Parts: sequence; structure tokens; C-alpha cells
Amino acid sequence: MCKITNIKKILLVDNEVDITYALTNALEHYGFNIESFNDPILALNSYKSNFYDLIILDIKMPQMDGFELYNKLREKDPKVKICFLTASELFYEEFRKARFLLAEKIGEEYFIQKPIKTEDLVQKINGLMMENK
Amino acid sequence: MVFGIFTYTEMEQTIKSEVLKKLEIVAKLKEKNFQDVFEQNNEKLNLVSSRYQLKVELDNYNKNTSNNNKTTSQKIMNKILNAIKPEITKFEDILVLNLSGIVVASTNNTYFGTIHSDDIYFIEGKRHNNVTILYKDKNQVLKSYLTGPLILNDKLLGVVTIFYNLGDLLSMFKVFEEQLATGEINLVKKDDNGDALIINPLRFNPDASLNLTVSKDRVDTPIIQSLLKNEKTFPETKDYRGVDVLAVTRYLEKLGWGLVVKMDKVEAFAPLENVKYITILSGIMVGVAIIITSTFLGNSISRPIKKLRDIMNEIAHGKFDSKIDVKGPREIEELAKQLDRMRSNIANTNTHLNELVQERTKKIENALSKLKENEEALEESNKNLVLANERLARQSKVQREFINITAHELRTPIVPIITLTELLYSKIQKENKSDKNLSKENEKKQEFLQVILRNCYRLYKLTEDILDVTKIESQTLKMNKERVELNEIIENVINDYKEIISKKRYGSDQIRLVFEPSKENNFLNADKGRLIQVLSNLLDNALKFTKEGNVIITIKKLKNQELMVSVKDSGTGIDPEILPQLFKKFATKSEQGTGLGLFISKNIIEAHGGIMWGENNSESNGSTFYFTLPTEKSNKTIEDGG
Repeated sequence: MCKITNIKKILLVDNEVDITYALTNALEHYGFNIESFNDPILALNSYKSNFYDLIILDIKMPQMDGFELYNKLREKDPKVKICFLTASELFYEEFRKARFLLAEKIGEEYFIQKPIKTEDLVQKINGLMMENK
Repeated sequence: MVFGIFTYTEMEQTIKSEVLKKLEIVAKLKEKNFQDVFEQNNEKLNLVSSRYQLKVELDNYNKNTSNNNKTTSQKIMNKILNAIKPEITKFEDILVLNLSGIVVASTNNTYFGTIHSDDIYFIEGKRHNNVTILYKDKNQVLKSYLTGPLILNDKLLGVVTIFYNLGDLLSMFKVFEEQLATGEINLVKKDDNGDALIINPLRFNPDASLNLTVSKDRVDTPIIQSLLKNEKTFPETKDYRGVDVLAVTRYLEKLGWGLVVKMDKVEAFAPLENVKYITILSGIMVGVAIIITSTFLGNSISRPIKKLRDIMNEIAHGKFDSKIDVKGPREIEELAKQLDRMRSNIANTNTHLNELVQERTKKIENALSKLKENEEALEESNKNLVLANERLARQSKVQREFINITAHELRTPIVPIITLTELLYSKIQKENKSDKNLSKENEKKQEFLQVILRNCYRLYKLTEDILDVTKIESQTLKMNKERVELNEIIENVINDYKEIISKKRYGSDQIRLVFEPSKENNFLNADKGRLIQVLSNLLDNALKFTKEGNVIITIKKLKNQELMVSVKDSGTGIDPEILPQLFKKFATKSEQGTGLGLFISKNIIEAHGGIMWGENNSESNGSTFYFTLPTEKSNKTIEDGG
């Protein structure tokens, strides 16, 4: 409970405008500070290292997919926590694919299926932020 | 005599070169079979031993002291191994062993925790990469390990071992051997003394496999020659039994194994053996006759003898057709008659033998061409299988892609709808709470939103159910099975539902959920998420139709070691009209459900090898739903029994 002093900053990248709009509002309601991008390349170019507490990426994006963006962000910021929020059906297959495509190993808890109730999403986000990396 | 030897040598040469040619073809085919399979499997071993994540997890497993972390690493390692499993030819199992030789991950649960520190594959695997080790299992079936070290940042972490079955590969030898009375293939490797150890069960010695050795001093044998890397054809040599054979040797470079394809000389030259004696004998007799007649009787007796000599000359050149019919002194006529008898005998035998040789050669040729045909047919059918597989894989890929895209497109719009409605609802709820003069209008707004939200969830549930049904019907519903404990899973689901009941989501909080677990742990191989889905579906149904009273969940162990789970409610029971089609799609009379839940649940249970049914309680109100699940033990009894 001692770390509540600063507001947690989350970077959200999803090509669907309505999704970033909805999630930004919902998560801000729960007290998070959200920055969102609908273009992964723009998100990458304007990325600030050592600034965010968590990054949430969509996987299927036309300009650059989530796995590629993950690897590029990881180069810029080796420590930041990055998770995926995906509507993809083949959840486990995406997870399996990630093992080959990502530059590092990543647990199942870093994959969140959408849609998800806001309450559950917040619970998962808090869980990830508490986790020691 | 000249004739006899000439004919014999000529025939011998023809047979030799024909037989050797065919043996070479067989040797080449077998060499290729083996090299291909082992090359592929070595690649697979490298695929496993170079998998970065596997090594990281093994490292974590070794370092971690907490059991929880160890289990996580173990799970990930198992998943990686299972993903690689289908790619390995004649695969049986993959083991990952830690430095103490204990199995920490495997595609086969029964290996977990077993110790192999003294086993050769562990000892060898620590030191060398891609070592092939052969052994016989308890049923005397020849198997093989491929083993190698797992190294991360120059640090040895453990050993990976792949087991696979050589049986099919070796049974291909039979196709060749069955075509001939004495055809045999020897596969050999060097043992610790440098002697040749027979790998395959031999036609002439079925117990030879990994038992029989041939001394390295017997350099004359094709077996030792093959291990000396001499790839030769042997028109005449002795094999390990000391029997004269025709043989072809090959050296399997990558394995360091020798291959000998051979056939007994007796069989190859069977027709010639007869030719040899009779022709040589006849030749000698003809020769002697000529010498006698020409020397002793001289020219003085002239014509009949000359005639006789001319005919004999013809015979000596292989012409047996002209009848010896000489008129002259009685002795000469007698001699001529004798010689003619001999001529016609030789002529007959010769024709007969020629036929025999031809027949025999034909047989060998037939046998070999049949063998080649078999090989080709096998290759062809293999190719077809590969093609069919590819086609299937493509089709199922298209289907999966379709479902994936549909899922993505259906779910995406639900995200902002649910998220923003939830947000709006919670904002209005908060406002209304703090508003002391709450207007009817605002109360209505909150109600509207609640209805919208409820239907959002319903739409979401329907989307998920329809996707499941699509997967079931296109047979792409995949189970991600792992080792799970059933008591624990049910306990967790029940706790979730207890909380939901307490929030009056089912209208009443007067329903008691009772769990009667079985006393022991029940481990089974199942998709945890899918089991939770089935249990939730049954509980949700039970709670929807029960206003008050008990909902009882029990686990029972059946005689065949399978588990039977039942969910018994005290609600309104199943409508008799619905009962016959209970598990069909959209078989609901309820306004709340999608009518797909039981259809999906039944399919999930069946995908686990269990069955599901439901009935109205005979002694009380309500209904009971049952499903069965095979356990690790019940699977074993099935295997043992069949």
C-alpha cells in the first residue's frame, strides 16, 4: 500500500479508435493516467523511456503487429512491463506464436482476452503492476 | 573341357553381376532411408536443445527453491516439448533431465521425477551432442534414444533425450528378405572393443539384435569391411556365419554404422552347381574320346573316325544338335553309339540347365523388381499421405482463420459498448447515491442502463457460444490439455458462484451450494478452462431454475477408475418436451439462455473422452446432470486391458 503515492501511467496502443476511447475513459475512472495511440508506428516514434508503468498492446494492427511493436519497444525500454489485449480467437495459438516472435519469454498472465469487464481488467492490470519482474 | 569351363564361367559372371547389381540397389535404398530419418531426427534434437526458452525455464527450475515457481517452469517446458512432439519421426517421448539425472519435464507424465543418473543416455548426453543410443525394451523391441546436452551461456543445465521406435524402419528389411531364401541385411555398429555389434534382429539369428558381435579381426567379412568404411561389392566372400555369400557394403557416415546386404552364394549359384559338375565331367569325357580315337586309331581307319572327330569338334564348340551316326567297324560304331548317347544326354542336361538358370535368374529379377516396386509404391503412398496431410492442414487453416477473423470482428465492437456502458452505469449509480432528492427520472436512467448492460453481457456470451459451436461443427475445437486436479477446479468454481449468489444475481440468496468432493486427489489430463466452462454452465442452469434449496455437486469414482461428476438441483426439473433434445442446439425454453450451453458442454466432455447426460430426479423435485471424465488411472487400465 506504500506505492500509491504516484498515479500509474499506462500506454495503450490499439488501432480501433472506439476501443482506445472507451478503455481510456474507463481506466481513467479507476484512477490511471492513460496515453493512447491508434497508430503503432506513431506510438513507437513518440515513446518515452522509463515513463510508463505498463504498456497494453493490441496484437492485430494493420501498420505493425503487436509482437513487432513489443520487440521494438523492448529495445528502447528494457524494463517496462508490456502486456497484450487481444480479441483474437486463437488465444493459445497467439500465445504459442509469441514464444517464437518475441525477443524474450513472457507468461500467460501477460495475455488478456477482450472483451473483458472493466472490473476484471483493472484487477489484471493491478496484478501485473504488483508483479516483480 | 574348354567348353565346360567356358560355359560355367560365363554363367557365373552373368549371375554374379546381376545379383550384385540388385543388392547394390537395395543397399542404396536402405542407406538413404536411414540417413534421412536420422538426419531429420538430429535436426529435431537440435531444435529442442537450441530452444532458448526451454533452457531458460530449465535454468529457472534448477535455481528456484519455491515449488510454485518450479511447477510453472515445468508446465512451460512440457508445453514446449508437446509442441515439438508431432514433428519427430517415429517419435515416442522426449525427456528433459536436470543435472542429477531426474526427469523434470516430459511429453509423458509417467516419467516425471524418475531418476536416470546411471542411464547411458544421461551420461552420454551430458558429454556429446546428437548421440544415438540403441536399446531393447522389456518386450525386446529395438528402440533408440537421441540425446544431447542443454547448454545456456556455456553452462550445462541438463540433458534432453528423445526416444523413438526403430521397428518400422527395420521391418522394411523384411520386404527384401522375404523375396529370397537367403537374403539378409545386417546393420552393425562398433561396440566398446571395436568389434561389430549387430543392431537388427537377423533372419538367421533373430536374437542377434544387440547380442551378437563379430570380432574386428575378421577383416574378411563384409560386416567388418562396412565398419572400416569400405563401400564395396563382394562377388565372393564369407559372412559372419562363415557361409559363402555375395554382398554389398555401405557405411552410414552420420551414424557410424555399417550396412551389409547379402545373399548366400548357394542360392545365387544354385543352378550353376549342377552345371558345374555335369558339364565339366561331360567335357572331360568328350575330350578323352577325341584323344583316344585320334591317337590310337590314327588316320588308317580314316573316314568314320574323321567323321566322328568332326562331330566331336562341333560338340566341343557347343553344338549338340548333329546326331553321331557313323558307319564303320563294329567297335567304332559301338563307340559312336555310346558317344551319341552321351551327346544327347549332355544336350538334354544342357537345355534343362539353361532353362533352370534362366528361370532362377528370372526369379531373382522378379523378386528384386517387386522389391523395387514395393519401395516405389511405399514412397508413392508416402507422398500421397504428405499431400493429403498438407491439404487437410490447409483446409483446417482456412477454417481456423475464418473463425479467428470472425471472432475478432464480433468481439471488437463489444469492447467499447460494454466498457462505456459499465462506466456510464457506475457514474450514474454514484451520482444517484449521493443525490438525496433522487428524481424518478434519474432512477429510470439507472434502470435503463442496467438492462442495456445485462443485454451486452448476453450478447457477449452469445458471441462466445456461437464461436464455440462453429468450432465444434468445423471440428476445430481444440483442447489444451494439461495435468489438473478436479476437486480443486470444482471448489474454485463453486466459490465464485457462492459470491454471485450472495449478490442476488439469481434473484434469491436462499440457495445453498453443496460440494461433496471425493476423498483422494483426482488427477486427469484436461483443458482447465473448458472444464470450468462446463461446470459454470451446469451450475448456471441449476441456479436459474432453483429458487431455494440445495444444489449438490458430487464427484464419484467409477469401477473403471473414471470420475463421474453430478450436479443435482431442486428446481423445476426439465420440461418433458425438451428432454429428448436436451443437448441439441437452441433446445431451451428459457428466456435467459442462449440454448447452446449444453450442446457445447457435451461436446467438450466428449472431446475429453467422457459422456454427459441429464435426467429429472425420481424422488424429489429438480433434475440432475452427470458427466464422466477418464483419469490417468482409467487410461492405464484401458491400455493394459487392450
